Amino acid sequence: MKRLADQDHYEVLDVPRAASWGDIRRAYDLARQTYTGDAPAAFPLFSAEERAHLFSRIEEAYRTLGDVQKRRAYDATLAERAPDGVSASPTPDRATPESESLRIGEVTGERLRQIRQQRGVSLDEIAERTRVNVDYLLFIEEEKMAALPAEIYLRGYLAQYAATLRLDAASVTQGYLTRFRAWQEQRAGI
Amino acid sequence: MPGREIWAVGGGKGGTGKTFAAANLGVGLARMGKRVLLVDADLGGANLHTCLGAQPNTTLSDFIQGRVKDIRDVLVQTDIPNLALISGAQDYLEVANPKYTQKMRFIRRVHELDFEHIILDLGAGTSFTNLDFFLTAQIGILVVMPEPTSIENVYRFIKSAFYRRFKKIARDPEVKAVITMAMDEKNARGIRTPHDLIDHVTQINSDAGRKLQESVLFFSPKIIVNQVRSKDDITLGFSMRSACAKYYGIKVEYVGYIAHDDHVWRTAKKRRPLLLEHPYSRPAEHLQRALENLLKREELKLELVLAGAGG
Repeated sequence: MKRLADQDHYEVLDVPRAASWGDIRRAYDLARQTYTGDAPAAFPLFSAEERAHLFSRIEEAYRTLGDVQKRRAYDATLAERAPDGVSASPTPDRATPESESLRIGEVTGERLRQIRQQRGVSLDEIAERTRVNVDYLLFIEEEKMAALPAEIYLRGYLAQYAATLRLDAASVTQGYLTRFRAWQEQRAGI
Repeated sequence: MPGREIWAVGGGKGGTGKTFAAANLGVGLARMGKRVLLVDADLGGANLHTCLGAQPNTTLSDFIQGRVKDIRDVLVQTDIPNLALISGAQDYLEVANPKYTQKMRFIRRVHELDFEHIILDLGAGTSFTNLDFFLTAQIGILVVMPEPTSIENVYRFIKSAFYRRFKKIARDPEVKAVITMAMDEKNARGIRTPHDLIDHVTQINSDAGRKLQESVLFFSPKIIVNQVRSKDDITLGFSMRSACAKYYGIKVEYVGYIAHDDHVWRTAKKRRPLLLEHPYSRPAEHLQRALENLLKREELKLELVLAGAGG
């Protein structure tokens, strides 16, 4: 096992390269619980300064990996650094859920919920992460179209929801908005 | 020949539930139809037989001391199908520290018996007997309670165990001397972590350094957190796993926790294993899950435990 100084952000947080945002958040929460204060698991092994240093590395890792844009940039630097696929894989994203793109016709509120639950992410986590009101996230999954905001906002919410789950944002928004528009037309027709 | 596997249950401090865990893991395996031998390797304070309501005539120390020649003569069948027992001794104090060769002879003989699983219930503390039995096992299990003293003892046990392994591997006397020195926290060369030690050894003898490095990869003790009362107690296992990885550079696997529950002491009073008396109680279900993880070489998953799927 590598020394802390040689560990990348994924190793510092002890999550796989394909970790979802939920995995990263949970790993961070665990690390905070483990290395701050006088928590019993780290106390006998590390001095106060060592724990502080460890935790600063963990915070740094979380600031990077917890942000979709920064994480993508970081993944790219890791890929460059890796000598010919020795470390993990030079294109980690290919194996991660991020590359997963739903077929347009497959996108339903129910399907999105399924994927979210499979990845072990709660709606509250997405709300906290995206600053989208949790009620809207729930309405998206329940397809309570009447309660959803105008398309211009909805599009943004969907894109953020998809990004948090590392889903392809374009296919999710396009697929969901197709249903949303169909619903609007149907309602206008009645 | 069936795959024969030795599991050792240790953990440093007394009273953390080592014997309780060993007995019930054994019972759980026996209930699955595996042929199981439970060995009370607590040579100082044996009481595994009490957990199973058995009354042994001969004991492990009879064999180790050579008073009984054939290991089969110290075996007793318990009244639980598929489960046999070798009891530990309550006799002489000096027996608690048998010679290395005596211990290894015992392990060899045990391997020749017709059992699929052999579970060694180790005593408290970091005696060479406990460390050596722990290191010969395919799976080493540490039982920890969510208390600072117990946690500290488990760390001490881990450290003592792999420094013991390091010393067994090392041939070079100079390397051996460095390892001995490193056991002392306040050593003159400032060797604090196994990483430091491996660096030091590599400077002296690069071949020996590489061997130590490799041995670290194969050292992966399992943790069971016993008597949990809160969510923090449950996540303690994950925190210890993290701290061990960061400090020792070893991969500890968190295989299960067991709820603090009155069923446990009630069955202890009756001298009956929990898994038979109250198989549907929470601690019994927790034990069962730990057992399944051990068999499948899996560990608890943080997301499932946090989601409450762990029960």
